[in-house]
Formats: sequence, structure tokens, C-alpha cells
Amino acid sequence: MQLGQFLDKKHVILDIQKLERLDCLEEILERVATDGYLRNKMKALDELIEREQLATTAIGGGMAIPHVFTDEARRPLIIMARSEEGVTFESLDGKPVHIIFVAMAPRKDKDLFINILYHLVRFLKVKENFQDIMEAKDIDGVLEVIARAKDNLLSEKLKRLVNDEVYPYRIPGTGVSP
Amino acid sequence: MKPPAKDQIVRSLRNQLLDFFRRYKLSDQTFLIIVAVIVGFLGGLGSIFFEKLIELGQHFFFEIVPHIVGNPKWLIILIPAFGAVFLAPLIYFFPAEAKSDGVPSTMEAVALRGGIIKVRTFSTRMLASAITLGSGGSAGKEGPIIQIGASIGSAVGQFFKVSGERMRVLVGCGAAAGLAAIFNAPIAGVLFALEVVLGEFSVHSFSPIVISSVVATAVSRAWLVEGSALKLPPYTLFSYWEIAFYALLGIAAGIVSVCFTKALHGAEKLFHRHAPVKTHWQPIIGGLVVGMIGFFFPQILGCAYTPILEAIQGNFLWNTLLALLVLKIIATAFTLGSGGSGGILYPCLFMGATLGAILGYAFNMLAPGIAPSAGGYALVGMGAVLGAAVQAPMAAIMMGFELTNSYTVILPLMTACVLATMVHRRLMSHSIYTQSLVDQGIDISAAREMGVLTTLTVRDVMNREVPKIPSNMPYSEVVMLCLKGQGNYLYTIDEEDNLEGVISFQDIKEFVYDDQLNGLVFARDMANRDVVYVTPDETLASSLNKFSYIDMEELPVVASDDGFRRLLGIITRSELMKIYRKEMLKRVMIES
Repeated sequence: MQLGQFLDKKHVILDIQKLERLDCLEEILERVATDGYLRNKMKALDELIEREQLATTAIGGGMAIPHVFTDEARRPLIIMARSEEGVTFESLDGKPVHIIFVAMAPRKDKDLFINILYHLVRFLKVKENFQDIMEAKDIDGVLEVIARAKDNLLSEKLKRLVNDEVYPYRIPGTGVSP
Repeated sequence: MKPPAKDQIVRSLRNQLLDFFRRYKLSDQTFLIIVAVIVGFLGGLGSIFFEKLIELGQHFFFEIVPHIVGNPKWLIILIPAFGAVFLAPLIYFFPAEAKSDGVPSTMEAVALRGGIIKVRTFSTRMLASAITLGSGGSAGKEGPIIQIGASIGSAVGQFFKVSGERMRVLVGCGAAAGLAAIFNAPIAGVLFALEVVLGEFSVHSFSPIVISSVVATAVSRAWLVEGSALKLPPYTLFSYWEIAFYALLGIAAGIVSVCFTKALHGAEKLFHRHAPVKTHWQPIIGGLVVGMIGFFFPQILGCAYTPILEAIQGNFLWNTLLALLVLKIIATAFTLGSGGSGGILYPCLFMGATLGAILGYAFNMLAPGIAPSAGGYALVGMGAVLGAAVQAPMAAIMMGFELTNSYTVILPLMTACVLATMVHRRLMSHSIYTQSLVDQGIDISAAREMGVLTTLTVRDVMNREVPKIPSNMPYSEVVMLCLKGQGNYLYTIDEEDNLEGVISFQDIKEFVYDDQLNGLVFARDMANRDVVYVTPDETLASSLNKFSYIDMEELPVVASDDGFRRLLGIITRSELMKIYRKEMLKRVMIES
């Protein structure tokens, strides 16, 4: 199980317009089609905002990972958004945020989800990956970069908990089974 | 095949009685009281019969046998051993019922077997004790009569098919009846049954045991020849300064009680490990030792109250008293340690009386103005040694009070009994009864925790020190706490102390070396929100049930009312398992 498996092609936005973090989150959820992933998009957004207000998810280096455990999510998912201008996210280093990964997962997948967050952070902290995403021409370009994250998300213990029957293998970026 | 006629009679009698009880819609307590009357009556009769049987034994061994062989002086050496010959077949066939003191096995039956005692215990114990005591063995008739009474109570209970707590109460009724009848001391009988046999005081068991004790005492007073029970002279406290002397007596009594306990169990071990002959022949060796002591000091033989009375009345010199005290300990240890059948209550009284008389003389010499007579010290000493040895000060105080019939004895008696009990407890952790159970590998206080799983609530065992953290604690701090903390769990709470979730160290083990998640993940994200919890008023049995389907080492204790889940403490699986194991051990023992 790799990061890319949780990122649907439909869930990549290259040009976010809003410049303030909560507006930006609203825009992201409005613009993506989440059928099959989220039960109630608005409720999920509310929970995401609630979490964001608790403490910022912009951990510096121009990236933010807004996330929430919510049972509105049917399965773990990632939504990627890119902003040329940069969003003010009250980030830890005070810099504007250019890459936003929204992550959501049902409560039962706590362990898997924390793994996803962990791998997202590790992936984005590599300067090259960050740069390539910023320079990608289109959605396929972004997916190619993300496909580099080949680390298996699951430890041996987690594999036992979350097997392929729970989340069947999906071709990265497509959200469909081969 | 036709069932035997006896069975039919028993069955029809039972059915008629149960019909009777049902027709009048008797409550549980009323039923118990009626049955307690029956137990008390039978217990009283049993004690009369036992008394007569001992007299018969004494007549046979000390009059008929000497008459046949021509009354030589040295014969007394052989009589206890000769009696032990008759004991051999009983021990051979019924080792559990015929040997030593009956009280520990009664305690064991109450604590471990739901009060079930084999009916044959009654006859075996009665015969074995009558032989030992009749042939001059140094022991008492009180221990056996307690067990005989208890077996009557158990038999009546088994006849009415009662079980559980009610059966234990009936066994207590029988024990109280036996002791009350033979001592003519109904209150002491009740307290002894509660303090020693049942090991608990409860209102539920109190009334039936009192009734049984009253009936048994009445029966024995009506039929038993006056004077057979110990009748002590009235007591007067001369000066209140004497209480200080009685305190010293109490301390000495505690030491004597410990010496006696050690000697008795030492002798038991000695015979168990090093005896040159088989178990059923061992009482003969014990009998020979007792016989030789009895040749010089016949007072230590048997269970007559005369030497005690003489000690109180001051008929012995101090050196005789000292010899009697030491020799009584040795003789009793050999009689019972070798497998003779008898109780330790009377020997305790004997030792107490002699010890008291010795100290009484000493105090009289030191301060004749304050302690004018030794008799009072002998009286109080009896209670003190008894209370210390069986670790039942209340029963001992009441016994002394009842036997002397004077209220003035109560202050010295209370002082000495309580001090003696404390000294004994300080020097060794078990009473003379529980020590022999410990020797058999039975921890009676643990066994008494039976039903503890259903009687104790979570509140009683929960640990109030909970590792709780606010739910917005950052990842790295949570990890640090996990690494530093003692337990494997952290509980996340909201601003109002309500339980939100639980973080298991197991769950986050995979990330602990990485601080990448700092700022992203908080305690609340890591916590498992589907928390199974217990409430303080739940029984341990119910929480054990929850542990059985939850893979956690501990459960949070939560006061859950009107939507709040206030975190109060935790209850650990290991603590619960400790109690559970005791319960299982008990069941295994019952089955075997």
C-alpha cells in the first residue's frame, strides 16, 4: 500500500484561488467530486475546519496537511491542491503555503491514517519532490511525482490489520482497481 | 431395584417438612431460624452424648483396665499409648476425620467447600476424641465438639438441600451449639462461630447462630449433670492499678500462645517427617510421652477442669505451676502432633491459668498492696492465651466473662486478651488454626475472599492514579509521556475531565522515533475513542467479563451520568486476575 493509492486523479487541484486557509479548504472541497469517498461533503468540511481551528496544520516549508478523522469518510483519501501565490495558513514558520494535502479517514483506520500522514510529511520534506510538484504542468505530472513515494505504508503489524480486502489495490491516481 | 427403606423415610420426611415450610410461606430468614433451632437441639444432644462417651472412655481406661491388671502404679505411663492403639484403625480408615483438631478442617469446609462436611465426620471424630481424651491424651473436648456440631449443622443443611451462604450459616450454628453446650457459654459459642469458624460478622448469620447457641445451651443445662462444665469462682478487681499487671500478663500470654503454636506445629512436622512408624501407629509414641509426663504430673492428663480450678484457687506452688505450664505444652504438642484427636481450647485455658497463677504470685510478691491474690490472674490468663492462640479476642473475652459470671473481670480480661492477641499476631502471622491450614497449603484468608468477585465493586479495587492528558497535547509530548510513564496507556480528557479516548503505547510504537508528525497529530488523533469502560458500582465479575473480550491491560473507571463521562480511575487486569485466580483455586480444590 502506497501513498498514491489514496489519491484519486479527480482529487488534484492545480490552481487554488482563495488566499485564506478556511476559505481555501472550502474551495478545495467544493471543487472536487467526492462521491464514493465522502458521505456528506459539507459535514466533512465542518470537521476539517474544526480541526484546523484547534491548531494549524501548516508545518512549515510551504506545505499544509489539513486532516481529520471523520466517519464521513468511507475510506482513507487524500486531496491535493496547489497554489501559485501561496495561502496564508498561519504556518509555523510564517511563510505562505503552496502545497496542501487534505487527508481524511474513518476512525477505524487510525493507524493507517497516521501512517499516511507520516509518509506525506516525509515525502514533502524532500525538497526535490516539493519542487517537482510545484513545477508539474498538469495533473498527470503531479501524479508521477507522487508515484515516487514507493514506501509501503504498512508495517507488518498494520498489514495484518489492514489487508488488501479492506482497501483493494487501486492504480495510483485513478482510484480504480486494475 | 427397590430403593432402601431408609432412603424412602428420609425423602418423605424432607418432603413433608418442605411442604410445611412452603404452605406457611416462610421467609428465608425464618426458615433458617427454624432450622437453627433443630441444629441447636441436635448440637446440644450431641455434646451431651460426646460428654458421656468421654466419661465412658475414662471409666474404661482409668478404672476397668487398671482393675484387670491389678492397679500397678506405673500403669499410668502406658494408658495413653494403650488408648492410641484403639485410635489406629480409625486413623487408618479415616485419616482426615480422626486426626488432630477439628476446627481447622471445619474452617476449611466453610471457606472452601461451601460448608459441606461428610456425615461420617460426626461419628469418627466423636469416637476418636473419646478414645484420645478418655485415655488421658492431653487435649480438649471443645475442638472436637465444634467439629461435631458443625457436621450436625452441615448434615441438617444437606438434608434440607440448602446451599451456599445458608449452608455456611448452618455450619456456624452447629459449631456455636457444640461449644455453647459443652462450655455452658452461649455468647462465647456465638462469637467463636462467627470469629473463627465463619471468619466474618454479618447480621444475616448472627440471628440463626444465636438461636442455635441458646437452644443448645438450654438442652445441655437441662440434661447435663451440674458441675461438668467449667465453673469458675467470681472475680473481684482489687485496685485499678492492677490493670497494668494484667497488661503484662497479656503480653506474657501472647508469648506462651506463640510457644504453644510453634510447639504443636513443630511436633506435627516432626512426626510427619521423622516418625519411625506409619501414621496410624504414631499416636502410640505420643501417648508414651504423655504417659511419662503424666506419671509425675497427672494433672496434665485428659481434659478435666480440676487442675485449672486448683490453679485459680492457689493450690499449687509456683514451681509446680511452671512445670505444669511447660509440660502441658509438650504433652499437648505430642498428643495432637502425633495424630491424637482433640482440641486446643482446653490446653490453652490450662496454660493460661497456670501462667496467670505464676505471674499472680510474682505480682503479689512485688506489690502485695495492689495485687493481693493470684486467682484473678489465672482467670484472666485463661482468656488471654486462648484469645491469642485462636486469634479471636472477642470470643475469649466473652468466654471469660461467661465462665466467671462477674462483670468486674471485663476490664482486666479485655486488656489482657487484646494485648495477647496483638503480641501473637506480631510474632507470627497465623493463629494456631490457620497455621495448620497453611501447613497444608491453604491460605484461609484468601479462600474467604470467595464470592469476592461478586461482592466487591470496582470502587473497592480501582486505582485512582490515572495517567490522563488533555486531548490537544502535541504528538511529541504524548510520545515522551509514553516513554517515561509506567503504564501502557494514556487517557485523553476534555476540558471538563471527561474521558475522550485512550492511547495505547502499542499503537504508536511504530512512530515513536520520528518527530515528523509534530504539529500535525495531537493526542485526540491518536486516541481510540471506542473506549470500553466500567463504572464504580459495577461488580468485579462484570468487569472481568469486559476484560475477557477487550484486548487491554486496564479499563478506565468512569462515572457516567447525564452524558458526562468523568474519569475516576483505572482497574487493571492483573489485579483482577489475582482475585480471579484465588476464586479458581478454590473451585479446583472443591472439585478435587
